Amino acid sequence: MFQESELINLCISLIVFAVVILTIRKQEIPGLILFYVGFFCIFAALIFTVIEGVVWNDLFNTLEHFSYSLAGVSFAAGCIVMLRKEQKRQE
Amino acid sequence: MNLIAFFDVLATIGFGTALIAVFFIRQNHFDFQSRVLLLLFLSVYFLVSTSNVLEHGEITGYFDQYEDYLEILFSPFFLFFLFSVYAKLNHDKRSAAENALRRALENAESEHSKLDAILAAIGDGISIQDRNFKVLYQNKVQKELAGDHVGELCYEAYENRNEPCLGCPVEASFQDGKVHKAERTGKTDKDTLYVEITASPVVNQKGEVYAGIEVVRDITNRKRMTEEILKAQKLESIGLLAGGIAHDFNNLLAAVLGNISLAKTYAASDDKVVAKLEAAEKASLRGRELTRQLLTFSRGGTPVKKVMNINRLVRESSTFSLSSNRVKCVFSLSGELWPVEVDPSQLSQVVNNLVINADQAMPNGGLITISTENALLAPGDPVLLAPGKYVRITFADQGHGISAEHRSRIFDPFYSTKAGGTGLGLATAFSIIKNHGGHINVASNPGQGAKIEVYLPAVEGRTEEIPAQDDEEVITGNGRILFMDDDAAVRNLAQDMLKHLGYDIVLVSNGTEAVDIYQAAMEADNAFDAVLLDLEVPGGMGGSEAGKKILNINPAAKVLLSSVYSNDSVMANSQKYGFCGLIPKPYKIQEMGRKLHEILGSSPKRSRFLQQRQNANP
Repeated sequence: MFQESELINLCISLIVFAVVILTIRKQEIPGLILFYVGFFCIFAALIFTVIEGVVWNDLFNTLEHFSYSLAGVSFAAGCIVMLRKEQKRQE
Repeated sequence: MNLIAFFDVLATIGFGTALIAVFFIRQNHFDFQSRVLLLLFLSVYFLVSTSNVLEHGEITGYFDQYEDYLEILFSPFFLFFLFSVYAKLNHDKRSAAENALRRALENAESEHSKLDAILAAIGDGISIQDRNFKVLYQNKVQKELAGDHVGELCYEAYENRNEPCLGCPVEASFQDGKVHKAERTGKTDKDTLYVEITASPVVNQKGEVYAGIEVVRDITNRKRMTEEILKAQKLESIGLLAGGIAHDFNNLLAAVLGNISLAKTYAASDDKVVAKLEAAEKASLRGRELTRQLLTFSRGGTPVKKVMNINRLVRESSTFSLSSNRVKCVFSLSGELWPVEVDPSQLSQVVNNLVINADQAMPNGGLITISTENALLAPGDPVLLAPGKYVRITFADQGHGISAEHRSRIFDPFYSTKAGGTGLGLATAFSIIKNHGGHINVASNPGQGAKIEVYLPAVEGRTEEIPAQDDEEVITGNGRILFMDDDAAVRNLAQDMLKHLGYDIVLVSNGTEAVDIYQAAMEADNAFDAVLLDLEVPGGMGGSEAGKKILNINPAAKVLLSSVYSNDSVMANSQKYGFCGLIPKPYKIQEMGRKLHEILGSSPKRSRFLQQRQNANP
């Protein structure tokens, strides 16, 4: 069954998704693209969360948690890339 | 541990790592707000992941009830984070653009002030006009030349016209996009102004001419220089012609004048004959002066110069030149005058000519103010002379003045506005002063008198006094003279003159003959006491070369040169060449006697003619 909080969360994320799609081409900061990847992963996780209440609960639950882990890795990688670029510039 | 728990742990480690890294990121793109929002949205999923780990690790499910609230916060935080980052990015870009613009403006201002300084430093007037001939810009020189007319139409402002000028170079540049030049004449308060205008088109990026730059150069001095050069060339060519005629005429005059002076000695007792001969002699002397003027003007040559203070010469020559009582000279002679190196007789001639001119310009009488003063010419002075020390002699009269038309021609030979004038006075004066390295400047307007300024270069050195001479004394002597002249009439005259003076004479007609006879005389131990040689012998050896050969034969030989050209360089520097002196043709018996006495040094015997003249006119 659908949970209200999950749907509301998805709707809000959908708005943000639209904004992200519009701004992604303008990104000029190194490493920020990985932040976008992280956001897409979380957005995917939110979709999987909603779907898991309807069909194939186990599969989509696993995918949801996989997406979270991928998002965590992406954000960590984005931050590390920024740090590296900063160090290179200082050198 | 199941797969989901593994993913949760991985997510927790990822978000935790990102959270830690955020504290080390010092990128300029993130300001304080961005960093806080980044921490917040990363914290959301760090907490969610931690809660999942606790739940799937079967430690506690307590935090699961808060997950939904936390997850809702993620999207807004991420959105605000993006806005914050892009706002900062835009702000940075705008700041960079503003800085670049400020720097560009500063550069433009700096370039503008440099350009202004350059345009102000250029000695030419610069004016920029748009296609409607409206003046957009004028530099300082242009404003001084034509006045401040920015914003006005150029043809109205500069030329007082209602339409563009004919042959306007700016208009031509507008039409074909090329550089055009034109010359214009204008009037200032004092004089005529000549300007050269160079117009260049100003083209925009599309290649269209939208304005024209007009460079206005004052070429008055250049014009005057050109006129001076043309005048000098004209004088030179006329001089050549006049000199040739004067040379032949002078030889004829030598015979006439010499014979008259001899005839006077023969006819001393007959007062009527003497009176006629004196009248003829006076006319011949005037003829001699005329030919001398003509020769001085035509040849110029090297003046026989002496370093002297010219005050006395100017005063004496001016007073001597005045023929009437209606005109008086007023002198203002500087006591501290620098010496000048001049030929006294030539300078005297200049003063004579200028004073006579001033005298004739005042038929009803008046004053001629003559002043001498030191003049230090600096670069840029209007006088066409090199900068330096000069002595200026000014002759100012109160006559009718000289019109601009006559002013440009007064130094032309044979140009005279006076009935009976030869037109050689000022031409000769100009030639003499030019040969002295000086210049004559004329300033005059009709009805306001004339002011003539003579500039002579000042020199360092001791001044020499001019000894007074008694022109009428005939000094006789004795000795053997070798006389060479190509003109038979002059030879015959010399024979009579020298015999009358008491000398023995041998006549020859050219230099080769003179050298041979001198050599033969030396070998026969019957040397000549003096040798008198004519400088110019057409088609034969002249006096200069023959004199040198004679001096080679006998370095103690006394060689005297004679020439029509008293200003010839050999004549002017005769002693430098080893000669004893010079006697310019035509000469009188008195001049010949005095010269021979000077070089031979025998005791003078006063002539019967002089004694009789003195007895007749005590």
